[in-house]
Amino acid sequence: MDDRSEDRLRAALLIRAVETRLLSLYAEGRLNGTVHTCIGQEYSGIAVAEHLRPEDRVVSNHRCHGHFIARTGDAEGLIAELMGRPQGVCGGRGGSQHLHKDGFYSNGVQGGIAPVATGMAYELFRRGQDGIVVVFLGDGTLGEGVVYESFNLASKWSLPVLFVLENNRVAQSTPQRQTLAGGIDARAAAFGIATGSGVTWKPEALITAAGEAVARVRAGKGPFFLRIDTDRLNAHSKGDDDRPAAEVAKLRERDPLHAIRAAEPELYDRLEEEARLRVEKAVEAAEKVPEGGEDFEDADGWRGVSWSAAPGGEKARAVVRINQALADALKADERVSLFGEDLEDPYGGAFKATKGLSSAYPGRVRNTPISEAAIVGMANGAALAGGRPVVELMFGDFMALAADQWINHASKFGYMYGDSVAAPFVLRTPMGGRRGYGPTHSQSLEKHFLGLPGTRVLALNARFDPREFYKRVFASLDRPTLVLENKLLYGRPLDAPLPAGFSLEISDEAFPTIRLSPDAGADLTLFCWGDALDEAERAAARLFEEEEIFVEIICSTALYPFNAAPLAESVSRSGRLLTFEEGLSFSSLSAEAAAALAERGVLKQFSRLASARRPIPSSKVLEVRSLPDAAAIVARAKELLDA
Amino acid sequence: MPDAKPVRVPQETVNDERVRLVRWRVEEGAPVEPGAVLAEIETSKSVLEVTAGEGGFLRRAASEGDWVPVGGVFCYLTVHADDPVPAAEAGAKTEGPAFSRKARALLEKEGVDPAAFSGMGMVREEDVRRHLASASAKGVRREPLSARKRSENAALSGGGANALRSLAALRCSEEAYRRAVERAPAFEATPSGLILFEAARTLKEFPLFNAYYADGDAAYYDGVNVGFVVDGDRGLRVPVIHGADSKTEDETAREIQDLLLAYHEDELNVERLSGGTFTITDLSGEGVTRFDPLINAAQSAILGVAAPEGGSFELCLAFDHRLHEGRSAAAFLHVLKSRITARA
Repeated sequence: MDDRSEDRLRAALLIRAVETRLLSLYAEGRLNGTVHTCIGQEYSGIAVAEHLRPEDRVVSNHRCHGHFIARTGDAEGLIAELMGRPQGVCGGRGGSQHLHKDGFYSNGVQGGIAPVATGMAYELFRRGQDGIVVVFLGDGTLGEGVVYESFNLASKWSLPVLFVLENNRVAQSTPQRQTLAGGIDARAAAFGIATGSGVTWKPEALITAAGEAVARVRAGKGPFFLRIDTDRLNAHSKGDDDRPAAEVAKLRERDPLHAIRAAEPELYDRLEEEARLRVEKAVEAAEKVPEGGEDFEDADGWRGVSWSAAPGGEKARAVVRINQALADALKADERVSLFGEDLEDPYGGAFKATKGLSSAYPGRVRNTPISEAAIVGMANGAALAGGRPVVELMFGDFMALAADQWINHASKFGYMYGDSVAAPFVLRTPMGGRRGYGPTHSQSLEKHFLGLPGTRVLALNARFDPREFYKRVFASLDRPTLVLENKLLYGRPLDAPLPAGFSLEISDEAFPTIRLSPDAGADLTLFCWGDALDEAERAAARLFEEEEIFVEIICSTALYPFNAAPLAESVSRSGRLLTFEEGLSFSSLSAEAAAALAERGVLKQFSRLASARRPIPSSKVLEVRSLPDAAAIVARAKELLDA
Repeated sequence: MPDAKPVRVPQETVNDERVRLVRWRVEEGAPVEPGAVLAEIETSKSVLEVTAGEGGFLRRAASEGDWVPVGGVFCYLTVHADDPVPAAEAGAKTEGPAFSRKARALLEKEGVDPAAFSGMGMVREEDVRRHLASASAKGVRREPLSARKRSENAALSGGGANALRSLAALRCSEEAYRRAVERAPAFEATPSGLILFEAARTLKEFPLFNAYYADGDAAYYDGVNVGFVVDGDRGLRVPVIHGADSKTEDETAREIQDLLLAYHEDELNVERLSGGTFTITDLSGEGVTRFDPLINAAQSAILGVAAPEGGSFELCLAFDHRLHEGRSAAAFLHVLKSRITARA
């Protein structure tokens, strides 16, 4: 056996020794959580890693130990990680499925890693940086649609990403024959992606095939799809293998390590013992440090603010200032790029927010296919690769399509990778109804995306200049940031006169709270965010004019993290809180704000106004009846004051 | 056929309630042919050209940069260059306080001048009632006006409830004023306090300027309560120094400072904002060299202090011509000026 083959064997035996020990540690109760082993599949990661360079990235899945060790060699960091120790590669936060070191990233949710890897490749390619991206997918993941969104984009944009499909013909317990229609390679080929294959029981040929695949991608020929047929010899996790013992036994016979052991028993035993000792030492070292050394901060964001008079509004519509803000960002920072549906000229975005930008910054503002999950997933990947992508989802309703990327990827990377990385990107999307677009294009869905640690959710309104707002977003961009725009907001002038008699102030927060105060003590505090401010203002004017009720409006721009202190201060003066939102109030920010005030003993009289408990109808009359407006605020405020 | 055809803002997108008039493409009063581009308007989606449906002379009804409601008139096309066009549509910005519906109804019923509330931002019915109560509680002495003044008023006012405003101005040496202030150290921080101090004394000599017009009568106030206009970050307010004619220089200066502090702390209460019988407004810091201030309700004059220009500045006295005339206003100003300059 030559030196290189011996190195590969050493790596394979290390991977197997690590996983075998992890299983026994679990059985001994010394390891928390689940373990997915790749016993039998070791040569897959080894074959690919051999051809990679330091600048390359590897993205992997729930069955990632082998890929990780093959790529980083850090068995000690892996073992400590699975044992929940602070010296683990992610400080014990990630565990088995969520590993990160250098350019290696794994995540446990199926499919979502494909656009993340594609986004990394996009950013490297776009900025002319060296390096390719490899993503390992299992054949079970072929059931995830986002994989195909990624194939499409990677191929269309000719990105340097190698899709490695580990085909072990079983998904957890379900055999492939029950779930897979059509061919595997044909899937990639359908997107114009070149394909190749190898098998782990023929390591030498596999290594050659992997080398050709890597070389092809590195040469700039676009993505490549490498299918590696392999055998999972153990259970999916632990004790969940229902395959007939005879079937698994047959697989063991073609295990490449089995063959090597037969051919070179002495070498095999020596290297196996070497690996065993190394693993044992790593376990001992890990256990020397206690688990759970981390200090948890659990601040609720409560902070008193000071106020200053708001500057006069710009003589422009909101959409013009958003457009200028995006141009500013493109101009100021090479890391910024824009992608989403219909952004390029001459169309310039469904609401024209990106008009002119693709002409002014060719190649940096791109139209994507209709692939919301991949758009946001690519933003995740591009951000991890050092970019500052700005993506647009045409309607806020489509956030649901990208929820996995927001919830299971964007919000997790920072913490679960030991705070060593983050995905700083901006996701812009318009919410809101009153346009007759009906049930799936009119919603205000922000509540579903609030409260995820590691993320930031902001909302624009017409009383704070969007250009300044976005300037602050980019200046402080250290995490995934969702900015809620609004269909009606786009056309609003920013210099509309204030309701007569009211004065406008902004807080000193980075994303300020807006306060619209009457010139005498308020009878009621009206809380809102986003473009709901417009109806709120109309209501405040009417409540004074018609009812002699003085309303103070508190409008937040930072929905998460949320600072309830400015609202509490107002309510403590007025004694009454009315919340107003266009979404459904069940478990919404209104409920959260009220809870925060109640916890501090500030809340006495309280009422909520929100969308009717039904989808938003398209009929004008029905839509008007479904969404609360100024008239509804007036009526509810009167009830609250009469109570 | 009307001689002025309105040209309205077309509905271009479903999203817009208003469009911005970006640029006129035709000069005011210039003739246009049918199909000519009149102006560019900006919708939320793009900038569009609006063309003339027919020919005529363009008469602008909006300015560049204005917001015009969709369906609203932004210009007229007239048959002749000098045909009359309708006045601008109502709805322009209104200055001054906002009145609730009930407050406005009471104002109209009682014939109170809305300007009485110029120091407030939002006026409720309750505020109007308080104002009426404080006006009626004040000690006033009514004397009928002369027959000459009555007939003059009838001729000029046409029955309106508002003052017949007029203005007299007198130049005063900047140097003399400066020296006068130097010799009155109490007013070092608020120099115009000296003018207030002397104006209060001048009012004792001219009681008619400490009175107001009421249904053909001159209603004289017993006390001299001088208000001064403050317009800073808390909005426009007129705090009042009650009994200003009997306060010493030190007392006057201290009270001005107390009131300014209360203004900045937003603690001016109704008592300190009401009961004024005469008002002073100082725009010298704004570089305004002459102006015509509005007279407060239930008063008949207001003194404006303008910014110096060429070594002197103007004392501008706006007065209600139903009680006063140019000559009496001039006499008032001369006495006030000599009181100030005599101190120099």
